[in-house]
Amino acid sequence: MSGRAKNNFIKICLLMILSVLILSCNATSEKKSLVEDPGSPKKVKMLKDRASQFWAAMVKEDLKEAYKYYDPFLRARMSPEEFIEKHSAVKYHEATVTDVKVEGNIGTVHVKVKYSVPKTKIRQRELSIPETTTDFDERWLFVYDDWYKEYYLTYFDAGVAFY
Amino acid sequence: MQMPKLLMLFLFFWGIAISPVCYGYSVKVEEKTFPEDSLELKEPRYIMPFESKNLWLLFMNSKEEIVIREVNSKAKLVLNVGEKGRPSEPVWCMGSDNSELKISWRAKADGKILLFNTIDLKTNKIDTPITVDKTTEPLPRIKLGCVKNIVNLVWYGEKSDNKGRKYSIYASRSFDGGKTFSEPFEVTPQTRASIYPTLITDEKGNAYVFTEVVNENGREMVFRKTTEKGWEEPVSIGKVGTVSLYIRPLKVGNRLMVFWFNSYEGVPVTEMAYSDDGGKTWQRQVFETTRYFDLTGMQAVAGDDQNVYLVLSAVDKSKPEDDPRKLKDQLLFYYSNDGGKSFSGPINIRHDAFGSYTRAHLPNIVARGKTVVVVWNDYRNIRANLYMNYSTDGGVTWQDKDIPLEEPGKFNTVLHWDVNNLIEQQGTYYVLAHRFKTDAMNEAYPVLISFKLSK
Repeated sequence: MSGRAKNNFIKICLLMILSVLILSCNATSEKKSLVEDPGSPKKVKMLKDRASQFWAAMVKEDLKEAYKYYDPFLRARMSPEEFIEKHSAVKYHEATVTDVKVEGNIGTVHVKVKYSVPKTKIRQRELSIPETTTDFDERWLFVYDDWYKEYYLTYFDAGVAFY
Repeated sequence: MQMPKLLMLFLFFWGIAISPVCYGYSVKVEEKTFPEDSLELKEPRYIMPFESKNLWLLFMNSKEEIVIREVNSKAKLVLNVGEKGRPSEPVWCMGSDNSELKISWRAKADGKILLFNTIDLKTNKIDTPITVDKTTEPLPRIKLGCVKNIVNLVWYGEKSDNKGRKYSIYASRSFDGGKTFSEPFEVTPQTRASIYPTLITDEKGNAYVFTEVVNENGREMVFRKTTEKGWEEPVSIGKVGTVSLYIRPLKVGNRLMVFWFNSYEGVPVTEMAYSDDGGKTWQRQVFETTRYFDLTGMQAVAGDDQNVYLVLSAVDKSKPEDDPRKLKDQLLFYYSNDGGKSFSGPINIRHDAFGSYTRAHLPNIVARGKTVVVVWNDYRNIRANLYMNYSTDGGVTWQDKDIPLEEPGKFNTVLHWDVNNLIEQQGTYYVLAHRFKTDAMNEAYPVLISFKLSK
């Protein structure tokens, strides 16, 4: 190989390495940058899709699937079995995500649901609620790689995530 | 393109590509984790800079060992091997020859004792600890300072007097490098209670103590000092509200100052006082802009004799119930360029468009002249992350974007609630935190993050 050809070969090699490095950096950034994304259409659509999938699982009474959508702070503390045992009283017949709002890593999802509570005993008292339609806002959190529904006990005014 | 230019371009991009932070921030960040150590989370932990480049960590692990670990080699010393009693609140100071580490801690077995030991970090020799006190029933609030052969120890004790249980501040001094200590001296006698010890040790070894005391007149902030002639009479700085957790003393040149967080009939407010005559008389100031701010963090440092900085984290209790700022801590920064006589209004150093929904708290701070760096716990990524911002003009202006010190959102990395664990050594900044192993956040290991400011 002549000196000029050798020089060109080194140039091409360096440019290839440079391209790979820049691309890999960009790829990493793109993959992980949504946590710093204030609310792009992509992040908003992700939230709407995730919330719709969650509520579809709830309507199907697939609590094992629904559990996967809860925030990682809950899942680190409560097993799927415990979650299912504690959350099977309410039956959801229909659910529609009607609106979503994204503010950084905080998502607000507006949901309209039809639910009922079949006869159940809570602390020696029998309780049941007939089919009822209601709508409410619920909070979702973007935690590193995706949106998760915040586990929040309204009755106790407390969640598991500390943020 | 000429080869050298191409090579320079390549090296330039290589520099960016291998930088651990690849998210458009120019500050180079490195971290060292110690996953082999499981931290006792309630206990303080420290970075200890020895000699020019050598860093050590001091912490307690979940096996109740007081661990001294060298950062680079990860060499480990355990201070309390074979010692009876559960240890707590280790505190440290640097001995006269810069490789001599002095540590005090409290242990509880049959009774409560205050222990002290000296470790030569060149030989790693650990002697049998000295019992400084077993009469005052020491509690785990201990302050330690040393200069040359003088060692000052101040602590909180609950020894009973003839009226029953009494909470007071005690002190003991050594003039032989910690071989022997004086009998415990009650710094706050004739008070019903006094629970927050603080200590400044100046370059001559004089000790300055500030504490809140409760007596028949109500609550007062009290100052007391000792020189080579002994303890002087206590001086009242004035009446205070109910002080909670934070009392931060500083000595800036010849000026003494103290910042404290208190509340009057449930309304929180931060106050300060300074003295230019060695503590005989005091000028008080109220940070009016902190009224209704319930503090969750406070640090005060001096960059030099003129530049003094105060950083707080707090929730704003004046906000209506539906305002998230009533629940979420925010940062408040104040600067003084007249040595602490007057302070600026609050400066916003956090830049997050949605910051009112997430916490920013536990600020750590370090300053040299007009360069001031703050690292805090930020929850904008829901998980607890460390963020940094800095000013090079005495705290007046800050970087437009806060700088994450780790991959945003990946880990839960948390600063200690009390200890200021941010230091600067030869242009490199180091911050010590703990990182939880899982989102259950019940087990954590130390992580030391270092960075340099971009020019």
